[in-house]
Amino acid sequence: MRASSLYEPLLSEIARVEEETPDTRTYFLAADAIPWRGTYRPGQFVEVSAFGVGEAPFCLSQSPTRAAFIEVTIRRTGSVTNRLDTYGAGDLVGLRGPFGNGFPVERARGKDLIFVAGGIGLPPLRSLINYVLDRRSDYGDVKVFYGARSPADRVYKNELAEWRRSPDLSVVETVDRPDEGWDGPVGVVTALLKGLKVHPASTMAFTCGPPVMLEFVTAELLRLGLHPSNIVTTLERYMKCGVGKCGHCCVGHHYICVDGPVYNLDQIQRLPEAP
Amino acid sequence: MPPLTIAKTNVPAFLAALSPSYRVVVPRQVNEADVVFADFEEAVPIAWNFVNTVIPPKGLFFVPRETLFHIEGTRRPSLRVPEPGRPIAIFGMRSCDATGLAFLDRFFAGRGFEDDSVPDRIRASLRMTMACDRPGPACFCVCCDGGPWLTGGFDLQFADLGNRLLVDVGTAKGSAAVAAAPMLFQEAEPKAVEEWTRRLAGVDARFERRSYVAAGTKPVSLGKVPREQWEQWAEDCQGCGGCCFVCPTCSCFTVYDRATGPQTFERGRARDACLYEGFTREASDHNPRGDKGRRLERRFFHKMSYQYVEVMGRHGCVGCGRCAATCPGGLDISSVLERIRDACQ
Repeated sequence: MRASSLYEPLLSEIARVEEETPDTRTYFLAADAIPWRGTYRPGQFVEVSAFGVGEAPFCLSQSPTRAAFIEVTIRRTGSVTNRLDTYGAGDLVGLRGPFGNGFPVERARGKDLIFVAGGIGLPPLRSLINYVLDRRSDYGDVKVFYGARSPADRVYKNELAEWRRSPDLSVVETVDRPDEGWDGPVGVVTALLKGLKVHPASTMAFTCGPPVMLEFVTAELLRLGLHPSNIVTTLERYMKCGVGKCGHCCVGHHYICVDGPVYNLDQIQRLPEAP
Repeated sequence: MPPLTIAKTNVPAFLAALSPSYRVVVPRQVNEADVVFADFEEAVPIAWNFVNTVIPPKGLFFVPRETLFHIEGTRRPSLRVPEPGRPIAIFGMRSCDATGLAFLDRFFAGRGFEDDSVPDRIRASLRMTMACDRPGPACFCVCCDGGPWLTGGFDLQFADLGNRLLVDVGTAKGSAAVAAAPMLFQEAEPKAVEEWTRRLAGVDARFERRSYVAAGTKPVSLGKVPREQWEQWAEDCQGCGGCCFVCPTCSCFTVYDRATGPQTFERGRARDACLYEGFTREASDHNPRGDKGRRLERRFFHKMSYQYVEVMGRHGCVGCGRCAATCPGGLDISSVLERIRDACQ
């Protein structure tokens, strides 16, 4: 019996790999053989296979406006990611997608944007940040706040330096545990938001990171006066199929893989099985 | 097409005539108590006197464990998708189970992504159902719009008249099946139709079990059943997943890679159950549904909430009663709905 071609991945070649942190790498997949290159939405995700081990979902970490590669930034955590960690240029991974709803780029148009990321939460936001930078005149003021455990745990170190030099956005970083070379702020990322001057009615915030960070960050953003519908995040769930069939990622009647993973706080608060 | 009749003794000949076009499956008695669906063989008798099969025929279409594709090699692999199987002609399926198949068809084909595997198998099949006039003690299809007979969703619907069967032809595919052995069928005389109508008239009164669907749906949809209540009920849940595996509408599955040789693998899918602790456990070990109460609540939300009715066009129980026969903790649909009704009055 034949099962659905929905689950049959595209074979995709790793062009190169960049080591981001001791446990995190960015995989650059050759985009010329990927029919949907350049057409996905920031915030969408893909299912990546390490054949013989399995498949797992990862956000697309580069903007569709930069279509030379499909990029995914992956931290070693489970069986699939540990196997991928042994892969290099020339190896083939399986790719299915793009899946999920993506960030509301149209609704964000014309607004001031605040990005708050913790650790491995920067990759999904980076796809949107670069998207905004490539359509810079469509958006207002752009501020990025990034917190990591230590300077070595920061992903996209070169790009962060480029962003700092750019007049198009402001970047503030903080770490929990500084090293000798660190001259920036120390502490949780939430502290960077305190006393921030914003125009609540015309500001949207995008935040990704560990659950405890999200809790404090959203509380702070609400305190700054942002409406819950303008606070946007992604919900993470154990996920298998990516296409709303296997049932693993359901929250209430929502399939995070199809209806999400991007939600605003207003929607999250109304989910039947509130996370 | 007007109703027909066929002698029970002629059914094997009819099924044999379908065999060139279909894999024919029939109910078969495998021990004193149990009937299961098995491949038709002319020499082996068809089971006639049973309430329902132990497990639903769902597994013929949504296969318990199946290969999605074969993998050769790891780092530069080639993939091979298995050939589709023969279409299935299923004889003697109960109305509740046919309703379950229609539910699965809609689910797998819907929501923007069509998983064609299950719908293709269902739509290619010949669905020959058997109306019930003797419900069993666990049955409650009358409360769930799941039976005991069908007004659609079948190709041929049979009704037992003793030595012969009344045949209701539902589709062109059904009438093509009849045309494979037309000499075995007769046009039903008015007396036969009258007799079946008379039998039907008494069926409702013979149901022993009730399912308080309406009383349960509202509190489940609104999250009004206290969490402590779910936790208390869930103490009796063994986490075996039996209710999900015997349910004609449960559709959850997991996906896995498995070695089939030194350098060959398969990516397969196997049925899964939302009552398993690992169902939602993430790679970080965080588990949003880490306790049994939340898992039980989840199952009933999926089966009974308005939110899912809106998506699926009906609630997710067809009233077959198998969970009642299976659950060692008494946490089947109708019992829990009764508890919800009592707790939320």
